[in-house]
Amino acid sequence: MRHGTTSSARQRPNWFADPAIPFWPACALVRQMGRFSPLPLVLLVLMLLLACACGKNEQGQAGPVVVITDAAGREIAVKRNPKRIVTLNKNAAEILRMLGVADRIVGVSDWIPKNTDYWPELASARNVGKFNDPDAEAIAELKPDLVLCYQNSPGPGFEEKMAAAGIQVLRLELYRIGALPRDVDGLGRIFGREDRAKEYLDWLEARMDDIARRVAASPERPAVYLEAYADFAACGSSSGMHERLAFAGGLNIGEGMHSTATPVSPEWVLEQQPYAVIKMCSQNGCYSQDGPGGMADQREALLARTGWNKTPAGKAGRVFLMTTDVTSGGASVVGIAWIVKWLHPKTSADLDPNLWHREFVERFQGRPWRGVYVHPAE
Amino acid sequence: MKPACNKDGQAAYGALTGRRVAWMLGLAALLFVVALLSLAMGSSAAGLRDVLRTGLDGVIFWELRVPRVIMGLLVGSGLAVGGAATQAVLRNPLASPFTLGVASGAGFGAALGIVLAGATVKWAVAGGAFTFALVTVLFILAVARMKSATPETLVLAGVAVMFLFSAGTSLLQFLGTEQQIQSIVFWSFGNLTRAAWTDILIAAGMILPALPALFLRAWDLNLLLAGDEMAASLGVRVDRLRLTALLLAALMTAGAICFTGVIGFIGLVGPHLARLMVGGDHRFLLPTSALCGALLVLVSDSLGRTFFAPHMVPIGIVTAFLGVPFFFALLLRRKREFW
Repeated sequence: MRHGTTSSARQRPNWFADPAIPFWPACALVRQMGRFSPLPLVLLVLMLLLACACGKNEQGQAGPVVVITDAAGREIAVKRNPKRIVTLNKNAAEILRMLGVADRIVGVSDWIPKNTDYWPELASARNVGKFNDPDAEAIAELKPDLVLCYQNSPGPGFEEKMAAAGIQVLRLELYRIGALPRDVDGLGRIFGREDRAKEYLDWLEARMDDIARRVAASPERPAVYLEAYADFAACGSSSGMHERLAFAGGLNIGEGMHSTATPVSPEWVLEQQPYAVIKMCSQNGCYSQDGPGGMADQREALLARTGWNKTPAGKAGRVFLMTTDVTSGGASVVGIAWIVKWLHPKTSADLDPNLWHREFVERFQGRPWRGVYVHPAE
Repeated sequence: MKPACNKDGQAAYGALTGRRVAWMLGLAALLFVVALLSLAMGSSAAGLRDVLRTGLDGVIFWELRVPRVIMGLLVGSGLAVGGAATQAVLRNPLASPFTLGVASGAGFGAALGIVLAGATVKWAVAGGAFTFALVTVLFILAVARMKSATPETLVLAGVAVMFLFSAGTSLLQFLGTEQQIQSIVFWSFGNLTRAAWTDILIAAGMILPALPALFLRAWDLNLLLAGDEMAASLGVRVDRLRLTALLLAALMTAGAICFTGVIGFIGLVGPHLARLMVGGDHRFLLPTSALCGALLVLVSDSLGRTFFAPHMVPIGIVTAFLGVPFFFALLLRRKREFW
């Protein structure tokens, strides 16, 4: 049932329909459904649909609303071409900049003001606080037409609070690559920039196809230990890292676990004898970095862990750090490319993830390319 | 049935002492068996037969299991004896070194280390935890010295400081990045995974000397339970004893939790379990507390890391799930008041 809602995204890329790729996020969506009271939203949709019908423009391109599917799989009617946007979702801010509407962003969560090198055009946007706990008064004062946020953050009740101020909230799941086509397509339609959205999705599809070819050409399916931010916290099957690894042709030794960060025992990791280790890292301001910075120390600490020199990953130094800048949002295909390069060196000798990243940053973000996002990055 | 008063006093006392020694020997034997089992069990196939191996199983055994078990013994005994001493000098069954804000001070110090230096800089995290645990206690002792050191003042000051540091930790979590928040939360669960040989040496250096130092004061602690005036009239320097015992308890607690994170329940319940077994005489209570605490920590850790393997349930969670029902069972079987 929920598969159907996601497949409504236009220009669905082939890799998205690949049956070999487990479509587990659907389960998460169904569960998520239970957390919100759908009644006010259903009423809102009905009212907007009615308004739409009265305008004699049910499906017309110039109609006042666009119906799109949100992160919880709900059909939501959003006012076309909103002029004032607050985005708590930094991935959405990137997509808006790609669509050429960054100048409509009037409020942002505190992540963006911390990275002014990457976001010079948003220097004057108001900081409305944390992505998961924003200042509702500040948002209301900005009188936005639309607030963009994440699937689960801020928590339940945010829509109601904003609705009381007459502000619509749209939850997007852009941090997962599986949700990118649906969300980018939806934003493209809201802003009437379908061509630009399609241009990006075509670029993404070509790169995902390239990755799929390289993975198919490699017979190896190496076992990888994915570690979340905390020490010995394994990324389970519900994590974004698990999804990326599956696309990149690796096996997650923690796939039997569900949570995004499950405490595991060090001896279990050793016994699994992982071929490689990939650790998540949330280094701030990768764009402004010229070197690996704290990632180098972090990698040394990982390699020095007890017994790791007795694992294939430790012996060969296949211990990698990845920052969220290349694991979520528009550039997440870059993160997958890095994993492919690390796990399938034979079929990816000519693959340069930095080149892809450069394309994304220069062509779709209009910024000069720079920064260090993974370590080691060669 | 003979009335108790007819019984020869010395014989009765001898029987009581015999029972207490029997409890202690029984617990020690049980602890030995549990320690061996802990060494043999784990989420990997490594076991006692790997003692002499040098390969991966040998590394798992010598570098992961053995340090874990030794750290468990140290932490459990340190927390429980620290708890017993604190309960005695504050004359409060609800007290533990954590009542004095030691745990929240340590938590704040660890969070500060994680935010300022990063979770991988182990020394910053452990050092921060240790420093703030001691700063907390020294602050409270200073307050106590300024006012008269009544147990009530100390408990109140401790609770106030506890809230202050908890708020500080929450603030750091609020300001921190996602990575830092996750590390702070994981630290607060308590976990023996972090134990390495150097950590054990340092923890042992803080816990082991404090044990005999407290055991030597067992008689004074017994007298203190009869009241400050009574103890003073029998020659105990009450204020000094109270400060010394609290400082030793805090040192043990800080040494225990700075490497493992917060394991909160042992300091409170370890001594009560011991009291239910051997009574309130500190000559027996303190060593029995050490045995009970070590046993609780080892059993909880072994279950936590094997029951849902490879998931590891943090020890702070298991100790409560395991210890509380056990504690209630003992409590309900007792006919008389035990405190």
